Amino acid sequence: MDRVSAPSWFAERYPAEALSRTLRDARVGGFGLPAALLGALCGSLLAVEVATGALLALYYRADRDGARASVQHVITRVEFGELVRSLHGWASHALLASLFALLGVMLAGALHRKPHEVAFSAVVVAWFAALASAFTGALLPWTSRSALEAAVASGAVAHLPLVGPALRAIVFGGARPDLTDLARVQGLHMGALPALWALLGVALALHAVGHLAHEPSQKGVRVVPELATRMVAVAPATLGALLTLAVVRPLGLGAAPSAADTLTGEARPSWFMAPLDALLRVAPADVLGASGVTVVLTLAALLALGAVMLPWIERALGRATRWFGLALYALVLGVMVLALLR
Amino acid sequence: MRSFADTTLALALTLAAPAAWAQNGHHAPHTTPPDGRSTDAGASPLSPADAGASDAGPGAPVGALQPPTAGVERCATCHETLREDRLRNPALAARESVHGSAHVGCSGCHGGRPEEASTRAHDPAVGFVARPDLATATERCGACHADARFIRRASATLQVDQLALFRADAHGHAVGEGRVRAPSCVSCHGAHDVRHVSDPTSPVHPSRVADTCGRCHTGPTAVRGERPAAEPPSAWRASVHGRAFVERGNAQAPTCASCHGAHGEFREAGGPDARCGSCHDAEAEAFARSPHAAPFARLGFSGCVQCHGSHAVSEADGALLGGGASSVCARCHGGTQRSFAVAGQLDTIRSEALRALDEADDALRRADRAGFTVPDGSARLEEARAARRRLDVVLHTLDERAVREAAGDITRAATASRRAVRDTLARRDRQRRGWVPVVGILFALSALLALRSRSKETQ
Repeated sequence: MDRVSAPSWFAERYPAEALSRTLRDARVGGFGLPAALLGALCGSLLAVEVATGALLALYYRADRDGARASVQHVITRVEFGELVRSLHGWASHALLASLFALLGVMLAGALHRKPHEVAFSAVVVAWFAALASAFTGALLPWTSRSALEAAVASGAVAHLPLVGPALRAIVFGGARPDLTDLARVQGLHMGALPALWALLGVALALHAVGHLAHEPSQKGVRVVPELATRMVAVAPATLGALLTLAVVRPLGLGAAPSAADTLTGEARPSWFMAPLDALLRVAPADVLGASGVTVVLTLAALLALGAVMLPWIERALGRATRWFGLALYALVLGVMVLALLR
Repeated sequence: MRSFADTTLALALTLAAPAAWAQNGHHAPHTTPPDGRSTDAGASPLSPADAGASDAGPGAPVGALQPPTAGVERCATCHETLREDRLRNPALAARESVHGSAHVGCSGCHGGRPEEASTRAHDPAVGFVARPDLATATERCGACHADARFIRRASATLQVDQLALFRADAHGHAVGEGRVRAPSCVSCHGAHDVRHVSDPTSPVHPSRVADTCGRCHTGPTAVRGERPAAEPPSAWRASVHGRAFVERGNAQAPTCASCHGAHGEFREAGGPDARCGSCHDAEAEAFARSPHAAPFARLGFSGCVQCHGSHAVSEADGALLGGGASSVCARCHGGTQRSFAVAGQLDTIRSEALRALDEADDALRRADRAGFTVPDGSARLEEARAARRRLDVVLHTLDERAVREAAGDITRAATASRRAVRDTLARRDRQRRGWVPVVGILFALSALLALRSRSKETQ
């Protein structure tokens, strides 16, 4: 049996040299450039999320009585605890906004069409994963806002046809969620959703590499070293911006939950929950014999499914629907802005 | 409160008495136990095996209480199947009542021959009364409840003086005088659907007792002067006592019965001041040292009610004390009197101290919402709150020096609390400023990388 060195073993299976040569020759231009930079921004934000989240998890107590106190302990007693928590929170908000902006850029540059369908769908799923991650993260400190969001979401999810009860059981642990221990939510926030993120990241990276290898553009900046350098430059800029936000506007904890807050509407939902909250508030009690909440949530779920399947829907509908994706994007953006202004 | 609970359980025991006891009102008469053996007159209706029964909660089956008629009573055989609501519903209600849970039969109150499943059961010769009048109902309830030997075998704590209290009270007098609308036990507790006082559906449950009392004391008969009129139950709910009970769930907050008594009024035992003082003893003692005490006593005024009201007791805030139009002081003291100026002065001292307390409270709440715990600040705030309680007491003396002293304690503790919060947040701000150079370095690094990328591109 011939002796094989480790580098040659890897080179035989993973032709890094060929990949490097391909990337050196490849160029990215047009909407591909901002899309790549936004992707780098999302990656940087995700890295900050993971690093700060791991530190926060060291002190977190996943029970309703101790959760808020453990976060207070982090803020008050742990060195730089408030900063780490603020970085984590701001990174989460920025990630949602960046992914949404990335979707906009991809739609504007028609980067959801062949051969980018999988990448676009993966980004849409990533946005929903970020939403779910932000939602579960907002529940963890168990403040008055957490209690309100848990009550609204668990009530609303149950109205979702077919998958509603199962989804509620997964997130809240049963038909009558009391969330006495927040371990399930913590598990989703720290385990399931990051795992989904990792899968999506791998899918996007493979897609990018495959696309560049097969269809290298002749215009724009070179992937290596110009684009790569810029993407690396995004990381310290991201961290700097997050630090600025964390220093200038540290994220508060919020009041301890009380029944009166929920009843009198003292507590307000997080901004990313505002559209759902607004839709549920304006939903009519009854739509053609069905519950208004059920109709609104079903439409929202269909919209989400439509967003994931958008490249294929557009292809099926033909060239006449060139602006379909952008119109859908504008609709979602409009609902979000209106809900936030409300 | 306890008197209500005891009363209801006592009523259950009353109905356990044998049918004929009402005739002598004291001892259990000749009875037939479930096993058919005869017992002597005067023997307890509780069997030896049942003697261990003690206080039972609402709805708890007092299985140990076996009234002599249990097992042989057949009233329900007919009454629960009758079509007429007025004959069927009482039987159904009694079965679900606290008496039903205690296996107390109908004949305990109505008498008759309960072992007969026919109209022969309704035999007036053996004490059957279809609808006991008020006096009879009261006596029938009270006879057993006043029998300490009987009651103590069922409960170690149950009162046995309800009948005596009731007879001495205005309600009892009205019954004794044979007034048609006089209240008896059943007026408040119900006749058949008697519930334990801790059962929220009971008309004497603390949350409902205001409505029960209000049925008579705010109704048309009260308006006509046939009964003492009181403010409506809504006045109690809006009062500081009612809000404490209803909104804050404070079960110790007083209801009608807490001041007026459940079965006998306390009017003769010291008047309203004594009732208020039983909870607000420090305030009552302070008032006794005030310059108001002697003239109020001379004029026959109640020290508490005169300023605070009786049912619609409002929050003892600045509006009550101050020199403004809503001040209770203005009722007696004219705007130009020196005494009125004293009230204004006291209000100013109090207001300034409370403002300091509110500011400290706000600062601590803001820190809490930001996620900071300030143990020293919390401890100082608690001190300020304790001083505030002292101030509220001292105000009743109208002694300006003592009031200033208590107010000074509040201000000092509140200021210390705010200082602790400020120090904590200042430390946080110093720590934050330390990150500014790091931010600068990160942005510079990013800019350098971007410039390098551009220069490569140009090349």
